[in-house]
Amino acid sequence: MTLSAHDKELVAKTWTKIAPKAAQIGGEALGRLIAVFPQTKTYFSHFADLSASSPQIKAHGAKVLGAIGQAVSGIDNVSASLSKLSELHAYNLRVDPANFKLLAHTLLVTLSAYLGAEFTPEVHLAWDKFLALVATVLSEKYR
Amino acid sequence: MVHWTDHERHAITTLWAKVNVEEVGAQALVRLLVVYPWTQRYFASFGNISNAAAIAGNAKVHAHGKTVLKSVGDAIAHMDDLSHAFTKLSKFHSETLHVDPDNFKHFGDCLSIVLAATFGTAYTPDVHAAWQKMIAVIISALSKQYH
Repeated sequence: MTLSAHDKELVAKTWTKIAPKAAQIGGEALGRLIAVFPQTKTYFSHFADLSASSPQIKAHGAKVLGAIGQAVSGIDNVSASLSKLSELHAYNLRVDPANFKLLAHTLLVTLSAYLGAEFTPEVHLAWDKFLALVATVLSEKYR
Repeated sequence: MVHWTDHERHAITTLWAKVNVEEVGAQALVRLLVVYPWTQRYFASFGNISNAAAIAGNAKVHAHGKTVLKSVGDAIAHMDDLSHAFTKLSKFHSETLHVDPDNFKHFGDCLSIVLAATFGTAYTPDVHAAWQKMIAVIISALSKQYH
């Protein structure tokens, strides 16, 4: 499943819309991840505060969405854009790839809550594909 | 038997009371067919579902979305004994409709996203978590009779 030119356009357009609130959206997406899929908290045992309003979770979520923003800028070669992160996830973080789908879901829900009707089925499709691509790239070097 | 906290019951039923079954059902099914186009294989009799615009405007899709969401309402009414309550519906999906149960998860994700679009900030992480659990329970009940 590859990104069409139209998918890329929709992803870029959405990004421009949400960029001013990226930190907030990223923080909320990660907050939703640990609330909706509590097993994901196992990756954050080094955070003192794992409540829904945890500033550590919010900060980390902002970081994650920032990296996704990098992938948006380099959408024609996500593999190159995320190469370092790909290595980090493979050799250091070793987050089970199943969790990338879970975060993709909570990010889509957060985008939907922020954008409402603007998060059309086509925009949803483009982001679902894009996040699946990001997940593939991040798990590329696992084995 | 699923254990529901009072908080979860409240989150689910309070939100449900505000759901426009026809509207949310239609939107969720439209999304399923657009975002996961291979699901169109089950709807050959619906006429033109060849692109996003056609799907969004298709009367049969809208009607069926309402039907599906009505069942979600039934599920909520039977949330304490859903496996039993959904025995017939599960058999129907397996033996008559031949739907791959993986698709239930795709529909559930679409429903969650439509709820977020509809309710915005009111669809808090807590409410989202309760609904995710309700959706998981529905999926489990619907998949139970497959063999």
